Amino acid sequence: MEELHTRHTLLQKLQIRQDDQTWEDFSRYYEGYIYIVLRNFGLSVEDSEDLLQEVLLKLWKALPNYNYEKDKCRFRTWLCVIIRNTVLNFHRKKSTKNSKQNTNFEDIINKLELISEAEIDHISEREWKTYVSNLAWENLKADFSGVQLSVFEASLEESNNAVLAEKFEIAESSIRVYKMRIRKALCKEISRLNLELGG
Amino acid sequence: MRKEEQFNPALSSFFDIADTPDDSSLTDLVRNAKTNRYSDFKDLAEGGLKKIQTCIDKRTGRQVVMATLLQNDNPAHTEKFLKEARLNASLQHPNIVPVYDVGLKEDEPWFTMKFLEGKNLGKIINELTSDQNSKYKNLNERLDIFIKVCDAISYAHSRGIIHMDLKPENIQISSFGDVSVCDWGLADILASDCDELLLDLCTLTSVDLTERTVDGVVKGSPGFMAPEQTTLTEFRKGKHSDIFSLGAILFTILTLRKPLIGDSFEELIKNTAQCKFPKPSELRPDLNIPFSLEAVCLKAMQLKPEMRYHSVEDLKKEIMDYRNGFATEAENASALKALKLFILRNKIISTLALIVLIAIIAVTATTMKSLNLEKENAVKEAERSKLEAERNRIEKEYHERINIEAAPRFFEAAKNAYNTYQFNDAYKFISTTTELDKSNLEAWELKGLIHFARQQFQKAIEAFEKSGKNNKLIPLAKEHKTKLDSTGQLHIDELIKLMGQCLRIGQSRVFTDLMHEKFSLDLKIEDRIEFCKKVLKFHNNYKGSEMHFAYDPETQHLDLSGNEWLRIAFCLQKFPAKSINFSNTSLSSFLVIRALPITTLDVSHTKVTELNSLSSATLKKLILNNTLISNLLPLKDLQIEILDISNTQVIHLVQLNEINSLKEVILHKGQFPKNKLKQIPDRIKVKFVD
Repeated sequence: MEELHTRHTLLQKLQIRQDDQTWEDFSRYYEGYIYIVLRNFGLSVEDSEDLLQEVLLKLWKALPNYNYEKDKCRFRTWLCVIIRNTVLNFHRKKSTKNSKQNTNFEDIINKLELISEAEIDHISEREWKTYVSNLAWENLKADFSGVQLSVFEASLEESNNAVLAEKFEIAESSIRVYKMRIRKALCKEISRLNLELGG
Repeated sequence: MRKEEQFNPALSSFFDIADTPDDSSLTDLVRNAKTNRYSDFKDLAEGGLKKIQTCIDKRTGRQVVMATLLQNDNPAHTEKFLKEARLNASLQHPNIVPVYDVGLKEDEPWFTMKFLEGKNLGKIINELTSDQNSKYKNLNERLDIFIKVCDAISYAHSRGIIHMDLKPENIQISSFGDVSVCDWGLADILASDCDELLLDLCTLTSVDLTERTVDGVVKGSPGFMAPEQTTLTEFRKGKHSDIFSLGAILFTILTLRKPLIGDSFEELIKNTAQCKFPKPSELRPDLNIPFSLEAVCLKAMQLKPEMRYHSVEDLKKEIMDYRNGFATEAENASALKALKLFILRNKIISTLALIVLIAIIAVTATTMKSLNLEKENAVKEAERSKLEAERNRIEKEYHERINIEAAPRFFEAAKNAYNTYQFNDAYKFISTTTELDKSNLEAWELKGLIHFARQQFQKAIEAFEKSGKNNKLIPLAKEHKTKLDSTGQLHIDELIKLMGQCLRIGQSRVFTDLMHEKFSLDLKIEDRIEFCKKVLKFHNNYKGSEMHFAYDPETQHLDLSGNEWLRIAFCLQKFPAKSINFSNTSLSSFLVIRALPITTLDVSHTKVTELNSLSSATLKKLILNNTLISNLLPLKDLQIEILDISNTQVIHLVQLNEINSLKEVILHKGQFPKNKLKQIPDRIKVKFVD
């Protein structure tokens, strides 16, 4: 059991045995990502929350058949294709239901169908990076002081240390050290999360 | 709303950083820099054929400068480019920008250099007009830069490399004062001076590969390049071209202006070719440019190469002399403090100068009131030239003062050389002494003596006269100066007569000097023999006509035996004898043969009593019989192989043991009892005479 836990990513574990605990871990980590991709496809907050459950259900069914080959296609790309198809179905249903009320659905469907593999790949990549980085950032927050966190957040907008030093009224060298420390910790945490999630 | 909505996309950049291979291990860093060693390129400059960028060398983890070709369409350009890289790389000097690496990336040549922060000299000088706080306001600070540039070029010249594009813009100065000479793109190699490794690069220089310079013909930077770098003069380019450019840089350092200018490019080139530029002091009368530095500048910037300094070292030395004159005592002093020290050193002159200055200021002030502008200008002009003349005079005096301080050292050296009869050295040193310090009367006297010894009587008279003393030798010199023959020498009889006169007036040293000088000349053997014979008689005060003097040029044997009157024989100095027979003379010391390279010496039946004065290292055979010699120990450091000690006072045969080189000893029969003879070691053969 222990071996399983350390050696395999969350994804691999789920493929080997779909127990409740592993599934819970998986969905906890992935639902945020799925949600944000759904929003990317232009869904409202409410629709996104609804479809999120639908996507998770699809995953639950499809995962045992998913052939994990990292080099060929990343899990997150495959996941995004599923999300795109789910969104497409959602719109189709909606359009038949409400064909008389809203003709815009046709357009949306057309647009979604036109989204190529490459574009999906791009969206999945971009959102995955943001998602994992921010997860890592949240995990780290407890380890650093308020000033350090503020300095780091500000440094994302302002690269000039001198300006930051003036803004926070601390020495420029301190700014540099704060940035470096958090940067290193953040990169480490991102690496860990990425590996763990196996996306 | 979900928290994901608030996620910051900016953080995703760290995902890429984290995703790249582990950057925490230096081993990995160095390993991974194998293929893509350089990154983060930023454009810095473009010039000629090159593009200059800064970048990060991931292997060493430092910022470097990379040069690449702007267009890589001509194999000749590639060769030229690599030549510059190789040539610059061969120059390893603290004041020359170092090349780190040279290479090809898919046939594109590149080389990396040290990244130099700071400013170039051109910029520093431009900024001087506005930046009041720059430390380079101080001329001495600027001269320090110049001296370092001289060092760099001097080194390059010693390696057979000439820069050919020296200008303030190619001299980089860091904020800590490091000076680096850059851009060796036009540099050339002097095949005769460079070392083996650089000869590879020489083959290219016969054909001019880069026509892409200023106008296709002119190579260099107009304004600082030498006349011969234009095509309008006939002179060849060489080290002297760099010396001209150094002079032009010095001009800029002094005046803060370019020496060579022109309204158009053609005019500039023409001015360069004709060497047409104003005098620094005329261009900037407001800056009080030191006269001596102006002179250095003008000499370096002569039109004719042979009129310039012969080496960068010479040029640098002049600057150093000036620089040391101030700095050693004034040490970064402000202009006021330096002036103070100057006044302290030259009180009278300075007072005079001050009076003149005050007078001039007064006159100027009154004339300023005059409304007659024309007259005023004329007066001002006259005053300025007067002031300048005065200043020049002060500068000259000042330099003389510096020189005077060095004179005593040369005088000491001259005296030492004279005392040891090294007349050539003595002459060199005393000439320098009197050049540096004309007021040293003793030096003039010594100079007179040296000229006298060399039979240069007219020069001797002049020197004696400058010594301020009524020298007794002056009449003798006057008498003999007309008697010199075509070789500038007195006839031997005349010389001996003169030597006698010297002795009579108590100048025995001059007697010896004359003799020494005569013998150190390359005399014909007949002349030498004749002179020796005469001097021997004269010196020993021998009035008789009988004299045994036999010299065999074949065997180089000189026989002086039987001359009972012979005591002194210093005239044998430089006599080409290998062996000398002094037997049955009154010789009492070996000093006479001190410097002779003889191998055999016979002093039997003479008055010698000791061997301490014998120091001839070449001596192999020594005949001492029938002398009062008793102590053989002084021989232990010599290389004597055969020794005749029959009929001497030698008692201690043990002493023979000490002479390691000894092979044979000659004794008379019954000189020692048999048991004593056993003390002679086996290696020494014993011979007996009656």
